Amino acid sequence: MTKTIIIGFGNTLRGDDGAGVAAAEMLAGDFPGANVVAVQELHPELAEQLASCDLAVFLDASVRTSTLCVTRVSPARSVHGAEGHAFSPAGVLALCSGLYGHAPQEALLVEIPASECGFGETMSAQTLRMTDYCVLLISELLTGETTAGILLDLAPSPAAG
Amino acid sequence: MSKTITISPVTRIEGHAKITIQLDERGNVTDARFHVNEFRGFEKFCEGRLMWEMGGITSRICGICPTSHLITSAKAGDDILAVTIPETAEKLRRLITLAQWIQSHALSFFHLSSPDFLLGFDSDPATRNIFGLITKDREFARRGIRLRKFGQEIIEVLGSRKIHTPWAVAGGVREPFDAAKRDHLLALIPEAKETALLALKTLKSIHQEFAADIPNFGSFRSMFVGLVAPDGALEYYDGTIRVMDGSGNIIADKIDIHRYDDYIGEASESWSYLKFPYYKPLGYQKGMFRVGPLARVNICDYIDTPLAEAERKVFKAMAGNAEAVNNSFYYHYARLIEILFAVEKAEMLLHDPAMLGTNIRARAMINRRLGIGASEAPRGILFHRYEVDENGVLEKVNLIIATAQNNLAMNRTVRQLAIQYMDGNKITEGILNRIEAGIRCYDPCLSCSTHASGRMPLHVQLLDCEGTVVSELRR
Repeated sequence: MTKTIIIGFGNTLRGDDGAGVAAAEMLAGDFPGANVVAVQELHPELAEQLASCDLAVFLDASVRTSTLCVTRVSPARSVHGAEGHAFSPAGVLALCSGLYGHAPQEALLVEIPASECGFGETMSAQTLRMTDYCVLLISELLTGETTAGILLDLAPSPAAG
Repeated sequence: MSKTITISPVTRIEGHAKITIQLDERGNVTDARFHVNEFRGFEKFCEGRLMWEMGGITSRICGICPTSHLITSAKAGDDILAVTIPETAEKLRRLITLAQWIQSHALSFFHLSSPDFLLGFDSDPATRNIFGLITKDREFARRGIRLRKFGQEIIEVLGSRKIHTPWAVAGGVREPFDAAKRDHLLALIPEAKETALLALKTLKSIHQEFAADIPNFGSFRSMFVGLVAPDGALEYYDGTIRVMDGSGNIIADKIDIHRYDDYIGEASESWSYLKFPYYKPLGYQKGMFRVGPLARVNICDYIDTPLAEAERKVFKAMAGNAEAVNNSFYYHYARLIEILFAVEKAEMLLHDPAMLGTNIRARAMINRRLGIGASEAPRGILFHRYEVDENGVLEKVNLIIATAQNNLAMNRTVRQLAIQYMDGNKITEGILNRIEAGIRCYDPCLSCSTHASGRMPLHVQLLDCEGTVVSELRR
């Protein structure tokens, strides 16, 4: 059975930027036994949790897309995104791979469109809708109704978004 | 023609800064400056907010040491309420403060500074990082990550979140502790202690290897400022202010934190957003002092945990016991002693039955119009000063951050390193890295110290006597 980890990250005090966290918190509520993490930012300790998983799904808000985007993430090949306390998904995967000799076989980044990232704890209507859609897709992943491959086909890439 | 070299941005530190090195016509270093070029202005926009919100707001200053701001803000709030918080609440706050030290110090040593120590200052910059460290000693790198995780775990267990927990409040804390959580954390102590000892052994083993470099890493006399317990023990949460000079003389002691303003002034320079705190009785520049691990381990009379105290004695013996240890390179050593102390102390606290009490919060209305909180953040003493109206609305806020208090010393260190290593007008990678490493001794957190956001890569500029950039290096 595929061992999956869902990691939602972002700043919930900056409006739409908190979409990844909001999605992760909804998923944690719906699937109490699932391996779901909601964090403000990616940090190095996540490497250990990632090392024991086959599939990692990062949920993040993005201003570079107008629709939900799913892309494959590979471990970073340079130190960029893996120094200090704020890591990128590729950076934390690289750290995982370096420290434990392997990373999840598949890693996805789900980007939730964001447009209003000013101070505030509320999200825009569009981001709320897309967050719900993200939760629906990841729910199907967790229940086995869909797969990572299907998700990659289903949602457009950032270039298409 | 004189020149200035600029290093911008400085790498493997928290925040964004640059270094400029001014050369005269013969290529000799005449000045070197550490510039912090970001600004957020928390002190100003907090005005008009409710005192109760300050823990949540000020913890957002930083992703590394939010807990220090939370605790210090809560203490300023206690002062405004004029309450003595319950014993359980104080001990729980103490535990989370230790956790903050562990996670922050572990990140500084293992993640940011160890690549220099284990791979060498002159090693290939492409691999002189956490991944190079992993290649060199994977188990050491793993242990570093796990030690930081231990600190984060305590914060999460107590506060329900690793970062920006809203757990501490004016009057106490929101949630009590329980036996299951205590047992969970106690089970993690042995590995954390083992890792702290391993790190100490590793660092001490390389001191000899870096013997030629160490004397150049901020070796000068300055004052040291920090909190000590009433009996002179190493303190991290409460206590009074002690000031020691570079010769090891205590020149001011048992200063109530409410009087910090009588002793610490804040100067500004046009070329940096980072303020320049100084010891008021000696005036700006002459009043340079250092805070943080090097200061704390220097100024305390003893450490009340056995392994850390044994190590403190070795540390102090380096300077002949009576003297203060004046070389900033030994911030790393002091930092590791503090990790060991924090793990030992956390274990002692976890065995304390008072930790499981349920009386965790004192409630009161606004009873004072001024509140001051102080605690020892990982990088040094942190002050929050709030003036409020009768409803608790903030009228004035002053935050004095540890990294800023080291600003004069950091600039002095950069200057010393530049003078020692600069040869003519050329910057080599090894020189660049040594200058950065001089800053890293202080583990500066520029997000905190300027209340500014951002990462801190390195940027060095070389300027001629007219101020024109003639050479530049960025990483």
